[in-house]
Amino acid sequence: MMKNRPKQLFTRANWNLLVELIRAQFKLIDHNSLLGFLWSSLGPLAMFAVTYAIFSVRFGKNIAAYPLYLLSGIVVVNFFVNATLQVMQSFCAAMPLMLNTTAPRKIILIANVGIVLYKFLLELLFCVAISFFYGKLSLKMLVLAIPILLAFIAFILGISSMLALCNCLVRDVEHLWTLLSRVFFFITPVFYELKDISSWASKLVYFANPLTPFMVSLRSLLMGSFDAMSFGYSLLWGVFFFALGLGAFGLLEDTAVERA
Amino acid sequence: MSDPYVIAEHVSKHFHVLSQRGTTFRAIKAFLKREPLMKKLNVLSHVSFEMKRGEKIAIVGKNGAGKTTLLRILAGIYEPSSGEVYTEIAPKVLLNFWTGFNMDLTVIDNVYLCGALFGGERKLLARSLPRILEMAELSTLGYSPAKRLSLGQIQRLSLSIFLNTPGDFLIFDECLAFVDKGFARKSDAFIKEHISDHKTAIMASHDGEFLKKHCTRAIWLDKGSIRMDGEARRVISEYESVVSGEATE
Repeated sequence: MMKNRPKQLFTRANWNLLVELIRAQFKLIDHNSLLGFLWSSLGPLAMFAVTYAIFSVRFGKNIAAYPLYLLSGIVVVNFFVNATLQVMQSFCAAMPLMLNTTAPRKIILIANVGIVLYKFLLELLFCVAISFFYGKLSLKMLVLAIPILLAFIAFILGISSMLALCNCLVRDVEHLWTLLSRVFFFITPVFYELKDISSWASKLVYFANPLTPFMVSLRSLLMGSFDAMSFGYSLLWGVFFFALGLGAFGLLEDTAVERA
Repeated sequence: MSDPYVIAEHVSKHFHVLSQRGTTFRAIKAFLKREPLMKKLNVLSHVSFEMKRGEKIAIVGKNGAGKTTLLRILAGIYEPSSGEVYTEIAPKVLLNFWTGFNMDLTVIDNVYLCGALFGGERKLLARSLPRILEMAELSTLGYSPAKRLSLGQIQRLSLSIFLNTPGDFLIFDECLAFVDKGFARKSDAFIKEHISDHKTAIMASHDGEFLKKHCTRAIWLDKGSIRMDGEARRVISEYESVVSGEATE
């Protein structure tokens, strides 16, 4: 006899469910067409064009391959903002599913990150192509990018799970986060370098904003260098937020679902 | 019939429901003033029973008696506030027939999606697809978006997927509420065949005749507690006579 709630997450049935949930979303994303995908890619490209036009003279003159620098920054912030919002909204919207089926809630959470992850990886691939164009790409850097990407996904999962819980308990968290997440574009070095801002501000941006090390380490690899401190710091944040999110989710998922 | 298949020991459940819509401001205000933002609502109180392999139990009771909450606890969707539930295997659950459907996807895509929620694998579902669509009377609508289907058609499809995926322990709630008589007869026969001797099932419904036909035992829930537990026909008849008596009063 077992307690009525199975503890194992990655059983064959759950894995199958995760694949089907992601597959279903893929079929709906961008109306399942190439044109739809191109339209949705216009957002980051338009953001890139506007930011480049405004900041390239002020901040870009001392940065080699500034288009790559800027685009990689936009791609990282976009993934963070889109994934957290997607998970937060979809998790609450999936309440009937969680109340009427035995689908594990973590699987629903992971499936929603998976959908945004696919777009992020495609955009990152585009950045890799630009890096190749600038002659900065190397196999060693691509290999080093794998642990950073894994840590970044773990970080996103951790943050998203905590936000999803908060949004179930207090429904306007979603609106607050929509406003707050826009600030990340400015408090993360998307279009500027840390040395361009004052010493205290750069310390604040680097150490108090967990998104910064991921951006700096990924970007430095794309630009053909390796930032050991950001690399280590990214892994640390990834593990820390994943553990925190997982712990909070384990403790509060029942409360959140019952009170949503 | 031998060892217990499901054990519910003193299962109680209460919820904390919001006394007003929860916003960040109200949550902070309630925290600072140390006022409760929630109030406690008792739904189930010390429900205990055992179930043997192969038994079919009907759960009856008025709306709000705690039937769905009990089914959700047995399914592992809710944790009991106190008490324990043990099951031999994980159940296959159908509590709401439209849950899991994505109305923008085609009927066939929804078969795979809902099938996965019932624990069915794609290969197995692909093999059962003609049978699922035929039973749901939707063989010609496989590539239509689910949003074009009527409520009854969606219910037929949901039930058809549920009954065509593997599972020895079934939990379902009000699954024939909106279907037409023709399909009700068809699914009645199918349910009879599907929940044969070796399968264990717990079902809740307001349709006494359906429950009497398929269940051997019934539990009558009243205000969150067991009022009667025994032979299905006797318990359901007693429940129906009390409910109809209350209605005439």
